[in-house]
Amino acid sequence: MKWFLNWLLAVLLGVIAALTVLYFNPLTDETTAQTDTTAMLRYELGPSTLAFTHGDRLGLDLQPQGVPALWEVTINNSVLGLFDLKNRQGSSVAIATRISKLSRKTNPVTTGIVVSDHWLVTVPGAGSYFIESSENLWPLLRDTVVRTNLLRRPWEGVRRYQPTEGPEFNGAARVTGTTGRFKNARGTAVNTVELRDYVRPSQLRNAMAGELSLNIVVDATPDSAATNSAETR
Amino acid sequence: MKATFIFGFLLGFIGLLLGAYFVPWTVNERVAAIAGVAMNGGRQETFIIRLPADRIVSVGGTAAAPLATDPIARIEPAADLASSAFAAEQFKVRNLDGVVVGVGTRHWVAADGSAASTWAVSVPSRGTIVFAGEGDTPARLRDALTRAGYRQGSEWTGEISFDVADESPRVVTGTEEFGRAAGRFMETWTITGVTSEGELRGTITLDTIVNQSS
Repeated sequence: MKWFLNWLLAVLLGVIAALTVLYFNPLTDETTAQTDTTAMLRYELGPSTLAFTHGDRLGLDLQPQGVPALWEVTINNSVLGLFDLKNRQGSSVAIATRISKLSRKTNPVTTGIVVSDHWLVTVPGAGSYFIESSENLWPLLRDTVVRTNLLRRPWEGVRRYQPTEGPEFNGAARVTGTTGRFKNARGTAVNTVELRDYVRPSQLRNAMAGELSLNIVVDATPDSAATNSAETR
Repeated sequence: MKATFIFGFLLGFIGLLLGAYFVPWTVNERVAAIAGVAMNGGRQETFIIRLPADRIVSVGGTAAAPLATDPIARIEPAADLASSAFAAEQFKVRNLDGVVVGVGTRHWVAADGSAASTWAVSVPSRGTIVFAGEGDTPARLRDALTRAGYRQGSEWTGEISFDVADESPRVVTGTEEFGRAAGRFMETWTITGVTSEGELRGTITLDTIVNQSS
């Protein structure tokens, strides 16, 4: 019996040591994507979000009330949002659909909690472009759900995260123009989120703001110096 | 005793790390794709959207009417954009068997003297495909319905069908299984009714022919 208890205690200590390694794992920590910024678009997760729906398993409110949940087994890992995007002056200049799903790259040992994040952004009067992004949410979830809720540590201040980590070689997201002025555009983008306050997971829905830093070359000819008007009409 | 402790510790430590590494953290239920080979090459696949059941939400400026939908799905845009010529719609997307396989969004915008729409269709188990084509959808829908006898504010039943894109509708890009996708697509609207509130009944069909570019 004593032998067994000793063995059980050792296993438990081993598990705790492994969890500690995962918590502090530098491989899954935030990377800093680099991109020149020629336009900035801001969005909010909260009352000003136009629509937000998912598989109804996240404990986050759907918006608006009555919007269909993504309950079908083929799509219940997806999250769908519709955002009003504002420029630096606070004017609404674009509308964006954001489709997110847990990525196959997710691995707590090597990559973190990776989400495939796809944005379709439309600037009325200008055109549309598509952003393909890969985002590591582990640093944010570690500080909120693990540190604040499980380890009962207090949340302090406002924290900023830069979850974007590809697929471009510099760690930025990839922008592909589709219509209008952006038809042949190429570029990069970086998403930064700011969490103002945190007590419980459902708050992630109401206290978060984000910024898309964009660098879009509208005319993709090699000698063109024309850069974007991604936030202007 | 010491050896037992070390063995137990390593078992817990390595076991948990191996489990975290090898457990499949993401499982998106996959439905086999219903695809064929096009006559002149390429992979042909059709996605369908049934209105109004598959509409999730839509938002648009007044210039995008009559793409107006039922009161729940219809969202008012910010005041800065209220009079702009744009529409953003979100749908559940089905395969030819009628099984929901993904979600899609359609953004229509008038810019630089022409109008165009972009689709992004995400099939979680396979990736996202993006296609775009020029065409004034609201005007085309309005004209087709008017010719068929529809009057705004009244209920209408019948059948009209039209292709949306004018010129070279194309597959722009894709991710994962649709990565480096190129090709063409056809967007066809078949409308069988309009309610007195302006909600459309019918089907949007997206026929894609995709070649994987190198």
